[in-house]
Amino acid sequence: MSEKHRRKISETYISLIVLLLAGFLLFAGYSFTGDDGGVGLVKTRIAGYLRGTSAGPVSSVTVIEDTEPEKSRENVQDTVPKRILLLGDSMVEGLSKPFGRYAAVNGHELTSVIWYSSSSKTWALTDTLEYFVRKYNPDFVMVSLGGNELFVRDLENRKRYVSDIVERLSGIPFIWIGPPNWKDDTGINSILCSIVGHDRFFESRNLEFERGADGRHPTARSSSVWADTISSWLMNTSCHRIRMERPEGTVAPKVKVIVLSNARI
Amino acid sequence: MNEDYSLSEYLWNLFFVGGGQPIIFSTVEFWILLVVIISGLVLTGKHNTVRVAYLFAFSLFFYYKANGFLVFMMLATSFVDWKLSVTMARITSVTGRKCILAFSLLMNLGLLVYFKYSVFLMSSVNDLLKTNFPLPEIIYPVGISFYTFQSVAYMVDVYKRRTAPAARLLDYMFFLTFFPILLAGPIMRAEKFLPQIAAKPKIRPGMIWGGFWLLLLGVVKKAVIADYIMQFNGWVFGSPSDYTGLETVFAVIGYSAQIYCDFSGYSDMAIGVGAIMGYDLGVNFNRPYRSVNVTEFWRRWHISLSSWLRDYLYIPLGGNRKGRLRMYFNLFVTMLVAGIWHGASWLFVIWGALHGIGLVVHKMCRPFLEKINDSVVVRIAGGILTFSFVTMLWPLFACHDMSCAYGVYRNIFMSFDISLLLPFVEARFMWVVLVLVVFVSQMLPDSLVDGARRWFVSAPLVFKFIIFVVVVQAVVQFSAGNVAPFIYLQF
Repeated sequence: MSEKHRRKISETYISLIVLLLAGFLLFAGYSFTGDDGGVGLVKTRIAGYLRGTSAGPVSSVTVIEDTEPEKSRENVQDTVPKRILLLGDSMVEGLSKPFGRYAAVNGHELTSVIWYSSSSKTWALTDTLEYFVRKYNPDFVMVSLGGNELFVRDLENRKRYVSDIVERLSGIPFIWIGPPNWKDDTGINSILCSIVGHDRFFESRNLEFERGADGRHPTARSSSVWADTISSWLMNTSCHRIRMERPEGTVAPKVKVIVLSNARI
Repeated sequence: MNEDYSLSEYLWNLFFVGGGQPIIFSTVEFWILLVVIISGLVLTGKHNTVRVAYLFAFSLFFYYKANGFLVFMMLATSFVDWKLSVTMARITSVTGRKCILAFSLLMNLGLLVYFKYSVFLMSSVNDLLKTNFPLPEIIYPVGISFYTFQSVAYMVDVYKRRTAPAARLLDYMFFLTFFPILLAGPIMRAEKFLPQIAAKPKIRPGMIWGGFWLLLLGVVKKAVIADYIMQFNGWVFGSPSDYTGLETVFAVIGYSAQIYCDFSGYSDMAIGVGAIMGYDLGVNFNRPYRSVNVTEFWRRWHISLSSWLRDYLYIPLGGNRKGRLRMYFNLFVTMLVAGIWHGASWLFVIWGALHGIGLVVHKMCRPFLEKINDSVVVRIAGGILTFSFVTMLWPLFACHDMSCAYGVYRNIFMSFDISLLLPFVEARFMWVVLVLVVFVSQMLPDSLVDGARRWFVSAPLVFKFIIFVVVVQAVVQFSAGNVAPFIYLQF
């Protein structure tokens, strides 16, 4: 290899290194300007492909006006069929079908919005929540978030995000299904319980799950049992008790599923 | 679902914790290491031995991250093999050389059988004889199937004097452990790879940028497409009875796209990294879903494995030189071994056997097929038939047990309802788009694909940077919370 050729190869390698480092600095730079600070190597504030959504700081989010009188938190079961909106992260994928069976048996109308990899931050910093509430006008909401936040360190920010979501759901009865921990979390469950309230927060972390190949998501069978446990709590213990009689035999799920592409914010 | 560590915990985990933590090419950790590796290549300059030793050290690190202290077992067996190969090349006695080869094959294949098939064999014995022998607890070394086949090929080639043994132990160990191919291939041949290691690398800037292009392509296939698609497929194969026939059909088609993107994406990344380092690692996938028959499929899918099986099993068995019936038998046995190679499970055995039957049927029908006019309609029909055959057998790969596979096939044939098509597409529009992109890309003309690569190679650095940023952003947008392991790492 001649000296000239060797120099050309070295220059090419250096160009490649510069390209990689420049990319790294670009994405790391975005992370440092994010709400939660710290070193988040591949986080970006560029919003993903979402229907009718945009990213914005938490303080600029508009709270939904109450269109229905707030239901009092009494220990009375509401037997009226509901328009239920189930939304959250990939755990909703496993919960959709079992809750769909509950919907079929109890006369509810269920819509599931699955946003893979989402967290309280994602839902708080976009208007995806308002979009689907406006579109489907639910009179009951089930939120399943927290699985992507088990190891977060910016707990103060998470409190803000969760509070924001709760505030945006004011006027609509809701419950929050806690994540099915596969390891101890850094505090997200405590935050959820304290802000949402123990009578609206279903704590899943101490339940036993059969996990899929990734060691995290409960299997479909385990998700079904999880849904049974949640439904029993919802019907008998929570502050918004709706009819959730257990389906017997083979029941086809009645659920409309919407899957949003992943987005990191 | 990222686990956030402190910086010191993160660095400690990255550099010192080994075993069960293979470094995946599509992760941030790999890209950090790539910068370090390339920086070292600039410094090693013209000293080939230093360069080889430097890359070998990184390969050992990659192996340690995946398999922990089993790295010493791999070093020991490769040292023994190299010594045996040098001795085998030196002696002239046929018996002596046969004994050496037999010993090497016994050692390598014996270790493969022990690590990969002991539990399967023991549980099969228990099932068959209704016994209760305890199942051994064995740590499975990632990549053992690949580098075992690579060392077997090397020893056979030296025995047959098709290639000279590696002149230096370092060269042989580098050949066996080169980190891009260590964990999931391509399975390299000594006659192609050893000369590249021994000689000063013939690198050109176009080779480096071409390698980077392949690397980015592989990242898109694996981290954007495969990881996104699998989020739905995994649910269906996890519990088929909870899904409709239509959802199951889509999951099966989706798995076809997923396994292609996952495996060919890994191969692209491996070959691309190899090219950046200055090594030509060949081609491992050649758009297999455009095949019009099963024989062609196996010339396009996992080429390094299918050619290995042809050269070291099918041809030694007699190939097509001992009559038609023997040829069919040889084909069937070869594909049976292909199935077993993929995994210690009866599902893989059945998968291999069915592919063997498919190849035999194609060979039987060839005299009639050759009489048919090779028109576009005929090629499309052949393509659809081949794709359907291959795709319908993928559930045997994807399912974890027989009841899952049975559930999948029962759903497809007993509870298919076309009226659910539009709601499915509406619910999972992005998923459908990505699956279609995979199959449409298979049909693109070669000139377009090569043209895109040539454009990238000759583009100014700023355009390369923009494409790099777009790819990384796409990975961020579409990736699951956690990085899914490569399907073929389990083999």
